[in-house]
Amino acid sequence: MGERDVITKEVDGKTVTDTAYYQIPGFRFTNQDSLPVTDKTFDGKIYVADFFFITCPTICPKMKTQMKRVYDQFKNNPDVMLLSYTIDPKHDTPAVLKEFATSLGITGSQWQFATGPKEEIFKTGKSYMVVAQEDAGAPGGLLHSGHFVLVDKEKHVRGMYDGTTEEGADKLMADMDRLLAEYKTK
Amino acid sequence: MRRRTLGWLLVPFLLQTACQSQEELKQEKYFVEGYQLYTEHCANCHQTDGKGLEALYPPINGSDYLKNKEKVICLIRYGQNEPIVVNGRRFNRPMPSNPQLTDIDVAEITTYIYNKWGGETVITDVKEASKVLDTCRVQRQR
Repeated sequence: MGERDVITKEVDGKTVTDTAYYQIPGFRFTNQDSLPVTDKTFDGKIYVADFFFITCPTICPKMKTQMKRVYDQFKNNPDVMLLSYTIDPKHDTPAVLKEFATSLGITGSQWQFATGPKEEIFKTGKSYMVVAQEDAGAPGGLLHSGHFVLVDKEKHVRGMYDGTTEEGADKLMADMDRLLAEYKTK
Repeated sequence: MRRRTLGWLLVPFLLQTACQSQEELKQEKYFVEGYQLYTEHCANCHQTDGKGLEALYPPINGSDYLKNKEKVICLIRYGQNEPIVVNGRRFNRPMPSNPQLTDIDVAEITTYIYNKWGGETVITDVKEASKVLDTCRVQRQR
């Protein structure tokens, strides 16, 4: 799964070809507790990322309903984290995100809500291969995809799932189990 | 022999369902279209089973707020910006307005909600909904 490049390099004087999987580049934002959340926060974890905004009237409630199912399923699993980036940082400050998370029944740090400069977040969206941008024609003025992105411990994108449906979330959870099992047998 | 008797007993029942009264047809139309509209405009937050989501989106199914039917009718069209208390629990998130919903849409959604979760067996007629909507539109303009 995931994007890959074929690279050639010199090893012991010989030219060898290898496959390099695409990696999520580094990022640095602020979470719902006003603490930094960076790529390092997810070291040694598999995680699921998505993009949303609190006042979004259309697909976000569906996505949060499904992500909450994922959260409940993997709650307290030390190998699993969740990461929701807001694409409306002007409204979705750390305090607003905290209130939202608490209302959703989220405690602790397993599910991170990230906010920061809008341009940085849009750029990060591209790095997950999902759309997140301003669009006057979209409800709420912002356009974003409804995907959940599964990232492994090596920061490789391992799968994309429809985060607006129960079936999409079911498929994601099944793949998360498979991925976790992969690490167990290593 | 027994089967034949049963079959004959079913005839009046079949005739009845085949020729529903005007009233029954109307009720069915309201309920079915209400269900479709609910799915499209309400279920994202309030969920298909009407039970809401945690402390984010209040329940409709089993909600004590249903006793304020006129407020519910206005809410569907105009949304709400103040916090709302449902079953003793406070919900702070605003509900967006749905200005695209016509009076008949609102009447059908109301019918669906109250038939499904409010113990009602009759429709909320569009005439009734229009009256309530007019009143709250005027109140909102003040």
